[in-house]
Amino acid sequence: MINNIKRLTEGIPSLGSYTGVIGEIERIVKDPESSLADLGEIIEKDPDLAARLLKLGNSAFYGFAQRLETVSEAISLIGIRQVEDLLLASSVIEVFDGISAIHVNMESFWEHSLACGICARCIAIARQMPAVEKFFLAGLIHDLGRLVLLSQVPKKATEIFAVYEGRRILLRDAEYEILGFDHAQIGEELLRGWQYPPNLVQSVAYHHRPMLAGIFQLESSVVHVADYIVHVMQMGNSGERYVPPLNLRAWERVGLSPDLVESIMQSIDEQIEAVHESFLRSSKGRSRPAA
Amino acid sequence: MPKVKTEALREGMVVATEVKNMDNMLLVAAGCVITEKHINIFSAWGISEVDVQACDGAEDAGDILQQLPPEMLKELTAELESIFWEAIDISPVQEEAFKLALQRKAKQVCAGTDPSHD
Repeated sequence: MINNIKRLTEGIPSLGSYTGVIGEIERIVKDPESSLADLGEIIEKDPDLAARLLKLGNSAFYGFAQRLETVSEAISLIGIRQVEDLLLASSVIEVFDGISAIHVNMESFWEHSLACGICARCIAIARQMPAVEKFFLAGLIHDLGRLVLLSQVPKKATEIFAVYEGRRILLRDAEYEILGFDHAQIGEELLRGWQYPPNLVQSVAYHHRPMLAGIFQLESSVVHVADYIVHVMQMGNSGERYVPPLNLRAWERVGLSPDLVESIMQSIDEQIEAVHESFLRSSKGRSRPAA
Repeated sequence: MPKVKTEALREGMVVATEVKNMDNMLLVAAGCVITEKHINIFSAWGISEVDVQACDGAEDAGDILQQLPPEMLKELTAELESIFWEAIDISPVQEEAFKLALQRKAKQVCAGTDPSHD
């Protein structure tokens, strides 16, 4: 079964155009003599990327009191590691850009994914967790395994949807019935291959079974709860027509008050357009950055 | 006064401002409870949207459910119950989630932006 999952993910290209930029960021972060200006210069090599970073920095996603005029300002306020996570998020979307899938509307898929990313980040902020952009990234990529499935084995996907549409069954259970594994496991394999950090890999792998995520139980629980909230909002759709079950132990692990759910939904509504603009709309037809 | 697109109108909503056609002929008076026949008349005369009392003052999401016609509330509740995988009263958070989903749906229907009621 493991071999089958591996075979599925082999057809997906590795993270493309931004890995060069991310590599340079890594180098600068490790160089004690480098400055924020050096980092700004690297990002400014790609004017489109710089513009999108500034757009996001000036949106409700951050809600900074002052207007950001330069990339260096954005980096200093957002933080180097956080910018790196945003670039990774952008590169993930680029890898799957142009994929067509007969069973899932791609616009709707990304809307669900972006909303889940925003929601996970809002939860992390509400719980005062560090490195909130990691949670945005985790939410954004939680269902990537389903895109792999739809794009790499379309005939199997059709079988899965035939089972799914014929009975009252969750889509992930239909996946398991036909394949012997589900999209979360495919996502895990994909991210492992991309050498993502273990917390992100496990958040995706266990977003439906967060209490099995070992030391990354909290991260997985945040993504699980975010996915649930976004399903409740019916914002976008990654193929699942039902609002899936909420794991109450994961809910308790996250430690949110039910009273906060409404304000988190409002934040998602306020931020989704800016995030959509920054990560999706302008990605169409943009040039690749210089390596 | 919020306007509701004709295709999103439901029986039981109350017309807030009289509806006239292009020749200024009165089609439906203010205060009239909308029936299917009225919706057909609006469509036939090319009326694209109607001011509806039922959604008036719905800025506060908490109010919107009380202001919906009971039939519509029942319809939306049944629709949501069919897509929630679990019972809605298992825990306070699931109960709250269902309430918020219902409010959201009601707002979208009133605004004519609910994709499932196109």
